[in-house]
Amino acid sequence: MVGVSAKLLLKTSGKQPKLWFTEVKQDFQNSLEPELKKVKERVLDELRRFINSNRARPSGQYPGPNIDGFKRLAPRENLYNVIAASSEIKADNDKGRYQLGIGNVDFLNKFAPYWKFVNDGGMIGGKTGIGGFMGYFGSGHRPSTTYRSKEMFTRAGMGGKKKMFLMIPQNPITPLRYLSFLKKTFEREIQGYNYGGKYSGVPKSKPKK
Amino acid sequence: MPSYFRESRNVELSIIYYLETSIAADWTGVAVVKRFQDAYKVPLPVIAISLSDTVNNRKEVGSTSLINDYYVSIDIFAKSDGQRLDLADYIIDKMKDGCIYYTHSQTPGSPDTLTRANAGFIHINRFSMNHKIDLGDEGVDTYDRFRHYIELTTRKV
Repeated sequence: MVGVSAKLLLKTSGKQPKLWFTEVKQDFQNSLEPELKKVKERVLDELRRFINSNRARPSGQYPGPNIDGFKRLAPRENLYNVIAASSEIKADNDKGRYQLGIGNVDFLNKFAPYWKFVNDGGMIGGKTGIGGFMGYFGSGHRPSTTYRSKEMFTRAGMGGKKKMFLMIPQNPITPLRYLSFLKKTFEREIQGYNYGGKYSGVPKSKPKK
Repeated sequence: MPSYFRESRNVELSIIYYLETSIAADWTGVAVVKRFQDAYKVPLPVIAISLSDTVNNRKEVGSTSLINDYYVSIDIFAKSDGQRLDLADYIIDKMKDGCIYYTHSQTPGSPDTLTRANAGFIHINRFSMNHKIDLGDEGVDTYDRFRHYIELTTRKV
């Protein structure tokens, strides 16, 4: 969960009516929330591009079965889809605090249990509870007892012409660090935010003296 | 004629060289590798260091010069939870003051031998990440049981 605390600094000359400050604060809060929604969309777009551009091997293009009402996308989109589906903005207007949550851990553990390994890298074994990754093998060979300890067959014909298997990598997964990328993207996006409400810039009306 | 490395590679190699020599002086049996996958090929404890990202910014408006920020990833693979914390603290302590920036060159015929020349300083702008990597306990590979991740934002000055 990424927390956003905004500090509003008002510079005025002369006396301003108290109501004016309340109006500015309210206007700022009103403009921040839609901006956070835009930031969320931009961050998730960047994340999708990042994950796909770092994909090491092609993966399935057809949706998996829906689980507990969660609509699954194709394996190649699964990680992004699960992160996007569990991202939300929480607003606590009384405290002037907004939280942008990108990816819910419980949700990720349920629908993309390999998320930690893809982010941090590591050796996936049969005992890690992951089971394996959906993906193609470059050689496209059929499941065979020769590969029994290395690969597990799921179903034939998924993914079009090539066969898709559930595989257990024999080498360590190289870390993708997509959470670090996400954090950097979020910081860049939020830094570029300029308050553009009706009270921004120089007040048109002169303050009362 | 020797071939000279560019700045990104020099930053990465300078940090590896600095930490490798420091660790060799202060610790026993801790290996330092460059590639993440190589960490699984040597006995624990291991530290894998690599340059992961570069952010290029204009030095000033209208200038063609760039200021580059380099993100350096440091993966610690420890034997125990205590060792993981000790190594993480040690690395932070060593890196907080920055290190010497070396240019590196390679001589044809002996590519494994690098020649270093002092050419500046690497400043650590920020410790952007410093946390335990928890991949679980049950069934996790020995190398993944006590892992730690540090990410530094550095700049050559």
